[in-house]
Amino acid sequence: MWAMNGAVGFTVFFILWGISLWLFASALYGRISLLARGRPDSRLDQPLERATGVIRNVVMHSALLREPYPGILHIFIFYGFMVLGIGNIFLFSEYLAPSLMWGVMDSSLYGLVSFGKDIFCILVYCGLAMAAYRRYVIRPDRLERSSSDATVIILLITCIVTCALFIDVFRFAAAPFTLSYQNWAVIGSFLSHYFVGFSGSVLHVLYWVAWWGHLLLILSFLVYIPRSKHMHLIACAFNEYFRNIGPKGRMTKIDIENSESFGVEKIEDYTWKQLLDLFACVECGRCMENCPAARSGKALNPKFLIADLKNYLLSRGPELKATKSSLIFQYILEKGLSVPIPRSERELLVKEGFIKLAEPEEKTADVAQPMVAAGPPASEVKVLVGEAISEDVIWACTSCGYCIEHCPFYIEHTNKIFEMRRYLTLMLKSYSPQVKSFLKNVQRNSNPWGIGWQQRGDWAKGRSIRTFGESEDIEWLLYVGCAGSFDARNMKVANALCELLDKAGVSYGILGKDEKCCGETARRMGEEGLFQAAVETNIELFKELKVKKIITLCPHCFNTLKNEYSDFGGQYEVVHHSELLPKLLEEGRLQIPANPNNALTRVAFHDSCYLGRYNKIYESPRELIKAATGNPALEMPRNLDRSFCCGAGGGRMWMEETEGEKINVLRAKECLDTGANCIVSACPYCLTMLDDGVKAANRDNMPTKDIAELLRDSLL
Amino acid sequence: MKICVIVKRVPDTEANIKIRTDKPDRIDESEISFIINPYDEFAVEEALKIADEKDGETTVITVGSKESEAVLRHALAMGIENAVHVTDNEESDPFRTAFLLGKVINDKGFDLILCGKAAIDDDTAGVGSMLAENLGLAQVLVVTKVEIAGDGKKVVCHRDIEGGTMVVEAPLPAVISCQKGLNEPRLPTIIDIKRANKKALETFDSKSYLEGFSGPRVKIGKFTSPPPRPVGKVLKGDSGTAAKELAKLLREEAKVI
Repeated sequence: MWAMNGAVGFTVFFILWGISLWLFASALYGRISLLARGRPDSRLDQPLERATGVIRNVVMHSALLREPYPGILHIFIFYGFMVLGIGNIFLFSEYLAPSLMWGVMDSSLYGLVSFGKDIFCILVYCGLAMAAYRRYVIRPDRLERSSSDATVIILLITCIVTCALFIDVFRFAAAPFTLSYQNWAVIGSFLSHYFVGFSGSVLHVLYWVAWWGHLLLILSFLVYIPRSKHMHLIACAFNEYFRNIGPKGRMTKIDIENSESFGVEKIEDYTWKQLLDLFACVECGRCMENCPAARSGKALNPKFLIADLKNYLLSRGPELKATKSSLIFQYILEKGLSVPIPRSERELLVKEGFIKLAEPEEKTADVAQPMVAAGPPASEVKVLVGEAISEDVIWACTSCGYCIEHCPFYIEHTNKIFEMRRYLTLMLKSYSPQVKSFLKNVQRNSNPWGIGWQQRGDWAKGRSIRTFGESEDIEWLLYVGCAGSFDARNMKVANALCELLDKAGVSYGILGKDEKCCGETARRMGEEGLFQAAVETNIELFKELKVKKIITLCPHCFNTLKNEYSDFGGQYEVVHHSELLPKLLEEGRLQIPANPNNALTRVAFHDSCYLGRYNKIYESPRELIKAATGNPALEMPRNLDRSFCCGAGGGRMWMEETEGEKINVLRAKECLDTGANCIVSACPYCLTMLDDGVKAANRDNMPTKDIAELLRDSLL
Repeated sequence: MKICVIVKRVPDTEANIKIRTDKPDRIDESEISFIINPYDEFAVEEALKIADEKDGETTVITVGSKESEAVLRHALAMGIENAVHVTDNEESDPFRTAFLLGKVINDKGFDLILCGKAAIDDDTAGVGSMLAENLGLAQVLVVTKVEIAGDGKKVVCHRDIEGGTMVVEAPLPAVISCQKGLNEPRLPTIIDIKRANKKALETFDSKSYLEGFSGPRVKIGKFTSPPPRPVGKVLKGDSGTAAKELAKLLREEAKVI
C-alpha cells in the first residue's frame, strides 16, 4: 500500500539528498577554506588529553552543565537528536528497500529504537519548551542581540520531532498493531488512537505528508547548519580538541627580531584556530555573564566581539578566497609550527611554494567580477582594527579571563583582543596618553610609576633584609614587583610579608635596586618588545644569581614568571605568598596565638583573577583567613571561578575609565554587601582598586587589606 | 627640504643627582640613567612632522661623549633618517658646542635647524642662538607652533608670551628652538629602538673641527645641592584646634597668608 517509493519517489529522494548534501558541503568547504587563510598554529600535541576533553564536554556535557538549566535542556535536545538520527537510518532504509527491511522493522531491535525515539521526542519537546521559555519569557540579558538563528532552529526542531512522531502515528492508525514495534512506540501508539476513525486513504496521504515533511525539514536543517550559529554542531568538537591546554590566557611569543609586522591587522592575521573559534561560537553569552567590561557598560562585550569578528570574516570571504593559501595546512602538518609565521619566513614559504599568493592582477580581476558581489565593494570594506572592532572595544578588556573560563567551547577571547592591541601599540602607536606614559615609565625606569629605578629597594629601608646572591645559602628570591616597591600602600604589604617571613625563619633575599619589572602589564598593553626586553634582563639576572625559587607578592608577576617566562627559557619554582603562608602555618613555623588580637572577624575575600581563574588558587587564601580570624571568609555571590574582576588587569589599572560605571566601585559595593568589617585581597592591583572603590562608596573607614597584613595583624 | 635636529644627552628627570665629591663641577654618573633632553624630543617630533608633510630629509646631530650615541639612537628610533655624532668630552661650554655644530652643519645645506629651548641639565639655553649667529641665520626661540610657508622659503612661528601669542616670520634657513606645547612626541617601541641600534652613524672627532676655536668662554665653578627639605609638621588635636594652629603657623611661620 505504501506506493510512494516508486521510481519517481526514489528520483526525488536522491535529488533532494544530492542538492542538500551539495549545499551543506559547499558552505562547509567555504568556511574551512576561510580557516586555511589563517596563520599556522600547532595544536596537535597531547592527543589523549585533547580527546578526553572532547568526550568530557561533548558526550558528558560537563562544561555546559556548570549551569544546570541550559545544560539540561541541551542534553535533552542533543541526545534526542542522536536517537532520532538512528531512527532515521531505519526509516530511510525501509523506504529504499522495504522488503529487505521488513524483518528488521518488525524486530525487537527496532522496537527498542522506537521506544528510545518516542521517549526522546518528549524530552526534546521539554528541552525546546525550556529553551523557548528561557529565551522568550525569562530573557536573560546575555541572550541579547542573538541572531534570529535560535528562533529558526527552535521551530525547525519542533517540526522535525513532530513529523517524526506523526509518521508512526498515521502508520499505526492506518493498520493498528500490524507492526510489532507499535508496542514499544508508546507515544506514537497512544496518539494513533485519535486517528483510528480516519479513512485509509486520508491516513495514507497524511503519512506521506509527514514522511516527506520530515525529510525536507531534516535536509533544510542540514543545509542551514553551516550557514548559521549551528555550525557549532560541527565546529565545537574540533574546537574542544584543538583547545589551549597550556596555561590560561598565555600570549603567543612573537619573533620580534625577524618580523616586519606585529599583531593582528587583518582578519587573516589570526591563526586558523582563532578563526575556528568564531565558527564554534553558539552565542550562549556565558562569556559576558560576569565580564567586567560588559557589566559596567563599556564598549566591549565578548559575545558581540566574537559575533562581529565572525561576520567580518564572512564579509571578507570572497576576497580572502582570492588568495589561494590552503597549502598552509600542509605546512603545519609537516613542520608543526607553534608560533605564527613571521612575515620574512612567510615570504620564504611563498618562494618555496608552500603558500601561493594571488597575483595582483588576478585579484583585481576577481574583484571586478560580479561573482564577488556578495561582499561589499572595496571602498565600503571596513578596516578590522578600529572600524569593524573599535579601539574602545580593544582597550576595554581587563584580561580577567572570565570569558575563557566559562566558554563551554574553549573560545579564546582575550588573545584575540591582545593581538589587536599588539597591532595598535606596535604598528600604529595608537593608544591613550596614559598608556604612553606607562610605557615610557617602564622603558626608562622599569616601573609604571616612573620613579627612579635607583629607589626600587627603598621600601625596605630600615629593615634588615638580605640581598639575594650576597651569600650562597639564600633559598628564596622575594620578587617584590613594582607595586610593592613603589606604591606607598603596597610597600606596607611588602613589609608585612617580610615580617611574617622573618618570623617563620624563611631564608630569602631581595634584589633591591637591581630588580626590574616583570613585563606583564606591558605585554597586555601590546608592547611585546618591552615585555621581551624585561624577560631577557630578568632571566639573565636570575641565571647569574642562580635563582631557582621565587616568592611573589603580586599575582601578575606570579603568573608571568610561572607561566609565561618558560617560553623564553625561564623555569623557576614560583609561589605566591598566599600559597606559601598557609604552608608556614601548617609546618608550625608561624603560629597563631591562642587569643589573636584581632577585631576583624568578618572578612570578605576577593579572588584575584590571576590567582584564581589563571592559576586555580582558591583554597589557600581562604585557609589563611580562617586561620587568622577564626572564621571562614565571607563569600560574595560572585566568587571563586565566577569572581568579578576589580577592573585593574590587562593594563586597565593605568588607563582612564570614562565609559559606564566604575568596575572597582561595583566590586567594592559587592564586598560591602557581605556585611564584612574588613575587605581582603591578595593582589596589589586589587587592593588599590578596592581601596578606591570603598572610598567612592563613602565607606572610608572600611579597612582594605592584603592577606599578608591580615595574618601579620593577628600573629604579631 | 633638509631638516636638522640638535639633541643632547641629559640625566633622567627622575634620577637622584649627586655631586662628585672629588670633582664638585661634575655629577656622579654611576647610578643614573640618561635620556634625550625632553625639549629636544619636541624638536625631533616637529622635524618628523614637517618632513612627513613636505617630503623632507631629517638628520640628527649631537655633540658629546661616546655614551651620547644613545640619544641619537633614540631619535633614529623615533624616525629620523640620518645621525651625526661629534664626539667631544667637554660638554660644559655651550660656546664650544655651538662652535663645533656650526662647523659640522656649515656646508650641509639644511633648510631648517631645530633644537630644544634648553637642556634640562645645565639650562643655559645658549647653543641654539649661538649656533644661529655662527651660521649667520635667523633664529626664533621658544616656539609653540611652526609652519613652513611661502613655498618653503620662510617659516611662521608662534611664541607664547605673557597674556598672548607672538607670531614671528623668518626666512629659511633658520634656527628654531622648541618649547613644550609644540607637539606630543611619539614614543618609540623597543622594536624601533632595536632596529635603530643597527643603523649606521656618521661619527667625527671634535678635534678635527676645533681649528680657530678661541677657547671656552665660561667654566663651571662647582655644583651644590639644594638644602634638604625640612621635616614636615603634623598637627594633633581635633580638627577645630588643628585648623586654628595651621592658620597661625601659615601666617607667622611660613608667612604665606
